[in-house]
Amino acid sequence: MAELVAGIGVPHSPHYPAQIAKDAPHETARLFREVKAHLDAARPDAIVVIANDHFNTFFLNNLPTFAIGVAEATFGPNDQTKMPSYNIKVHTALAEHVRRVGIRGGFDLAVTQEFGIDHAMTVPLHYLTDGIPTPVVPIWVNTFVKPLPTAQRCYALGRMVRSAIDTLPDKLRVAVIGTGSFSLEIGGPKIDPGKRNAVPDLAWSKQVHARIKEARLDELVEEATPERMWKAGNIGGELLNWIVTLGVIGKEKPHYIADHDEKDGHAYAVWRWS
Amino acid sequence: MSAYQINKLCHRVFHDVAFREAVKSDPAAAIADWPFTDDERKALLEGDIRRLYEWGTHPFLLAHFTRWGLFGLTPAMYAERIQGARDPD
Repeated sequence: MAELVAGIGVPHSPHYPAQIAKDAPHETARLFREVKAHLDAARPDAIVVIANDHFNTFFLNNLPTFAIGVAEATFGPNDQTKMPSYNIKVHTALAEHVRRVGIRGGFDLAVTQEFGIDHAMTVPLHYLTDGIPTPVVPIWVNTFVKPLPTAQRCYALGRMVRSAIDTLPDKLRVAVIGTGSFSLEIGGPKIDPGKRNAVPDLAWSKQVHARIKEARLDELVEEATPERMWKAGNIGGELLNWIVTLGVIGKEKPHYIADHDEKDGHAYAVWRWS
Repeated sequence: MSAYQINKLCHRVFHDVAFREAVKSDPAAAIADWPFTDDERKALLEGDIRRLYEWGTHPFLLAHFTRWGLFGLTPAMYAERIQGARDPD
């Protein structure tokens, strides 16, 4: 049977790869290396990646709330992010199984069988692997075109993904990576003067971080209303990627979580089982 | 009002380099065939970020314009014009 061996949450800023080498003496690179050591030790055969698309794989002419990629392979980044270009295997059997279990369980996942992936998936994979050799299963969540799915629904989606992993008959070590910010504004009225972005709600981000650290997920899901997340910025909905991931993981305290800093509204966390 | 066509324009300039160059060199001609209302066309050509946002243009897409100075927009101008804009419903 397949088993979940690691859960990971990290940010995915598209600016990192061009500015911060993987081996740089920079705090961001150091945190990614810290998380990578856990992922390496967990030796996954497949990585489920949970993120939002930024109008690169999908657009408003056809925008899924939840989608899964079921193909032999993918590539990325498909959004001109300044970073190496990767050809990436997809774990087709696991992806098909998640889709089947999901639809039978009431999650009508949209499917794409030919797709690229954007920085939200390639940036974490770039930092957390050596050339993305491990097959992935991409799951997209609409976290920034209103109306967003509810936090309750996202957590339940995560539980479904976990039951799919637990019921795949193949012997497979699976990791899950969820990615996004808790507080970030891009291009909206809350941006800082003269800049393209801002972190409008560091206090909320710290609260989210504390909830994750203490595994108080009922409270987190309750608090993460669309209005509350929007107050934290128009990218604040990316917390939903984390909530899906926390649903996969369940109510367990992280094995490792970096302290919250005073600048960015995000977190680095790891859960380990074997 | 649906901002679909404006969102589509932002998306196109991001992904289609030739079209982006056309918008940069002659914005009015490049969007002449697009089915904008008169108000939308005027707001685009004036770089009226505030109105474009309030009509429902997605901020992540709208902010693409400043990457290449389209419609005369610099990041500083954009940041100034978006201040105080109301969130669309």
